[in-house]
Amino acid sequence: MRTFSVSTAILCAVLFPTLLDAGELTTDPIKWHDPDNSNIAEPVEIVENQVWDIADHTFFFQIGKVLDLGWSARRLGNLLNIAPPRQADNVNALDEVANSSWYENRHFLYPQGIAQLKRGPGEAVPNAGGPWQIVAGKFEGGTAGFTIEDANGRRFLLKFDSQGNNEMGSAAEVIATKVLYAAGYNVPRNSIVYFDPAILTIGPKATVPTSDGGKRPMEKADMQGILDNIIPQPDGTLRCVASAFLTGKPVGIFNYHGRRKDDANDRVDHEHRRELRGLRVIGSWMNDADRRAANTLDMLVEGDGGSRYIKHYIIDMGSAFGSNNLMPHLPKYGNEYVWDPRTILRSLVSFGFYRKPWEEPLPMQYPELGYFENETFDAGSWVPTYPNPAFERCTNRDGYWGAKIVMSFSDEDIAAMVSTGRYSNAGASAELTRLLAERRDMIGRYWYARVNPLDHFAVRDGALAFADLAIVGGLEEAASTRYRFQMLDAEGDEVGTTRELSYGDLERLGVDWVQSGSSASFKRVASVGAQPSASAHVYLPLAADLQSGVFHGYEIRTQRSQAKWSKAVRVYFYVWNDGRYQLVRVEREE
Amino acid sequence: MRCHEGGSLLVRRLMVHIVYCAMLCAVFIPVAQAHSSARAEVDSLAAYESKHYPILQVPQFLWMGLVYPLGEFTIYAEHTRLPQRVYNWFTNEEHTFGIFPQVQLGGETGSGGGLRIFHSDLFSAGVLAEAFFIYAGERGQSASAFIGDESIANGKLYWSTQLDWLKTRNHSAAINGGWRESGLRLLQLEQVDAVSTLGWRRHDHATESFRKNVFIEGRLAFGWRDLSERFNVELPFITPGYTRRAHSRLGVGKEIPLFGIGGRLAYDDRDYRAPTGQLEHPLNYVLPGRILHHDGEAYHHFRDIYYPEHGGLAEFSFDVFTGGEDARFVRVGAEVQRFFTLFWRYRVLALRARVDKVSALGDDAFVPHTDLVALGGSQRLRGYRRGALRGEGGLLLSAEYRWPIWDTWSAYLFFDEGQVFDRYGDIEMGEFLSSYGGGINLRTAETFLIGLRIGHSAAEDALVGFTLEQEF
Repeated sequence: MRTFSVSTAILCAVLFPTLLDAGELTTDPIKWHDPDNSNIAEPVEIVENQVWDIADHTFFFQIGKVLDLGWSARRLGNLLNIAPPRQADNVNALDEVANSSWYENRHFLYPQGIAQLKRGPGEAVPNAGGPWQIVAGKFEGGTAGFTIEDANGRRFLLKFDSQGNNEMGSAAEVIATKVLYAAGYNVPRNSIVYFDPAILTIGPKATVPTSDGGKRPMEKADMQGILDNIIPQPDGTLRCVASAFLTGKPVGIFNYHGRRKDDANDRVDHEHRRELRGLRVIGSWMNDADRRAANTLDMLVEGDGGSRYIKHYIIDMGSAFGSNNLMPHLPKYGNEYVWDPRTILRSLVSFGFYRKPWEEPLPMQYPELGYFENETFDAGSWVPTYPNPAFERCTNRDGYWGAKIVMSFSDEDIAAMVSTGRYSNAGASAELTRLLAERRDMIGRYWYARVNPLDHFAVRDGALAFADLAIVGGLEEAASTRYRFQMLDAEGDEVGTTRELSYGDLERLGVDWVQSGSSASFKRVASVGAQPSASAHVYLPLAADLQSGVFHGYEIRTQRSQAKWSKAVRVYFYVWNDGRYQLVRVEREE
Repeated sequence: MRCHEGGSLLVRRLMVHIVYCAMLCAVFIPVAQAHSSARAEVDSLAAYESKHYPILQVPQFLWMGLVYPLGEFTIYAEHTRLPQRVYNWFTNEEHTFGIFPQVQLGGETGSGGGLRIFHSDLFSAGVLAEAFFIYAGERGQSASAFIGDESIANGKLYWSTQLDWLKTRNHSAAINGGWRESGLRLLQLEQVDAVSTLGWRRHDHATESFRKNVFIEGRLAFGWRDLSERFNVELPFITPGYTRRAHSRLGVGKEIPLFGIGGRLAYDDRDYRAPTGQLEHPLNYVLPGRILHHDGEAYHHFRDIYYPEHGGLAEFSFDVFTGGEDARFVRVGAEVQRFFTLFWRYRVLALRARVDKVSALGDDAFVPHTDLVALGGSQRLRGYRRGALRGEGGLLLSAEYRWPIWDTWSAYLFFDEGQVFDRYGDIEMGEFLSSYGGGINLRTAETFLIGLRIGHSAAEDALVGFTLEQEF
């Protein structure tokens, strides 16, 4: 008995903080900024590695994950349906990500114009007048290239397309840069550049690696060796991606799990960061299959007031869309890991009768797009080339967060970003735009079916306003959509009766409400097929006699075409004594 | 004793603690975390921070501690190009000559270690030379040397000389394949085989591996068999699977030199596809093993002879041997392999038929026991041990269904039928021995790595084995 008492006491000591962790409603400001930019001591550079990263995340990390009893217990709880998955640690009361050294809210919350989407983080164009002095060769990674310094003393990394794959990798790199930037991530400035190879010179410090792990000075033959593998344009110029060097000092990669031990600002386990979990969905949109630690970069930057902190970048986007840098993506990329025990086992026990949908490659109409298709795409099961711990932890809420960013790009937005890839064939641009638009909708349909996709909540003018993202995105019809509203008190307990309203009911309510003089700001839901817009709100008039000085809430479920009701989304707000409303929390059931 | 009992009690209590804690974790943690995650986080101006329960991560930390050195070493190896540097240690600057340590697992001598030496440009004439020596302790030693030119004067002719030496008293050597029931009755064999081959093939050079090919070879051979050493072999005794003449164990107790002359004729169109000016789909040729060759006019498809999907191989060989102790015999062998793609790509039915026969030349001549036809092992009648069946003739029929499980990995189910005999007239339908089983073949895009299999036969319930080469 004493044995059990001691054990129980220890566990209670460990677990009670968790039990007491349920947050109370508060009128504190919503956190839109995570202060992770305090001054830190200079960290040690974390070296990039390719082999171990793959081996670790494919084998050793998977075993270690199970040995974390907290993870195992939660998985067991998931299977027994007594516990939900662990949610991200860095979401605010509105289930959104605060701005930080990792992420900045952009296109979903603050829609960007076409010019801004095309500009992305900015252009990276060296002084075309030359000369461009090679200061280093790029031999690691998939793409060969140079680091050059232009006449203005600015440094750029130049990366070239491989033979037979003209425009493929370079266009993918630039377009994916624009997408990730608009989505909110820190990325380098990448641009397509055409230049005359005659302006290249070899700098005195340029070296090439030797077979014994050493280095030797770069010679003209080394430079020519790289240039010989590049197919020139008809006018003799070479096409490449110019990537501007990032500001600050590089301090290595970041991993998609754990934290950086020498960065006091790094307090959230990376696998529990919403923006890294949700990146899975944005990655799936672009088939950005090479999204792994080796393609990240931490920069020690100087902030306001002279503090130095680490800013986290995503780099190397050349393996997006149909490009796998030097060659087209293999059909399996995105559908299974490069070495995937799940599909290996399934293939083994099926005696060959399990036929992977992606076994037979589909036609490649535009070689410059590489291999990019939607026929085998499954938004829910998309994976990168090998396990990414943050992606593995992606919950429905994380997936929904990523999906609403993807869905926030209109066809015109996509076309604008695609145009920055500067395909010489207009048909290729149009095809990539079409594929991305289709894929966007597939992602929306999948993730919006797993949580109630009501968003952009606001309480103003005596009404609860929200956008039904499935209707705004043109995935569902307003006419066949119904909402079920249940008022809640501050404890989340139901108050009063449940109301069911169709879109048409809401329209009438709005009209009555406007006629009664409550507000003149009633707006209809945007028509089906309309492009995303934060202003496309449904307005639900609130009762005029709501008690002030207390919290109120609404639980809303949605029904489409007589199908079953969706999961709930709960919205809480506070009524101040002067009649003002304050939105304090959004909870999503998954 | 008291101390021992106290220790046991402590261990038991510790175990009870661990089990109890695990049960509590399984119930409490999900509930607790469910409670916390049901509500969104309370906003504050402080930075976000993940919560940790280090006590629950102790097993994970231990595992990470174990793995850490491996990870550090791998990263070190990658950044210092260690594999390349190690390769450099064992080879010359041009990488045309090298000496490597070598490990052998299983085989005629059992597991052992030794050295391998190679030269890929002997006499600066493109001549290949390779040799190895394996020492496996008391069970035996083996050595092999090869020298040859794949293309004499850059033409269609090729030559090679292969020298093999084996000394074994290993119980699982082919010579002892059927006698495993008693270590006291092992044979010890020492043998040398040297073969010089001069050959011609229809296609050579860059497209050789991409086209249908015909091979015509002539060869001279020298052999030496030393079966004079033995361990309490009280002849005769019955060995299941041996024919009457195999039971005679002719040559045991003798040293026999052999001289031979022979040849081989083969036609190989395994996996052949006609050259094309237009690719069906560029990604079809990336994996597995579909490496393309473009000669400026047409694309040639790489023939993946480790996983052919169609076509086949037909070959016939003969050798005549004469030597000391009246050992004079002729050996003939014929084999046909055919491959068929079933329903989908890479699902392949592979069929094989092979017959081997040795016959003494004259009434007073004999075929040494070592040169009889043997079945069993990793390639022929795979549910039986190496050399378990032996006679003057052998007939093998195999059917195998293969399917892909990963890019360059495949699985297979096999069904082998085999029979050993002394005269063709001895062959009877009812005398075939069956074996069946399955396995996995691991290979790269261009070469075979290892095959793992399990087989069943009347003699073996579940015979597990591996192979580093693939006959079929």
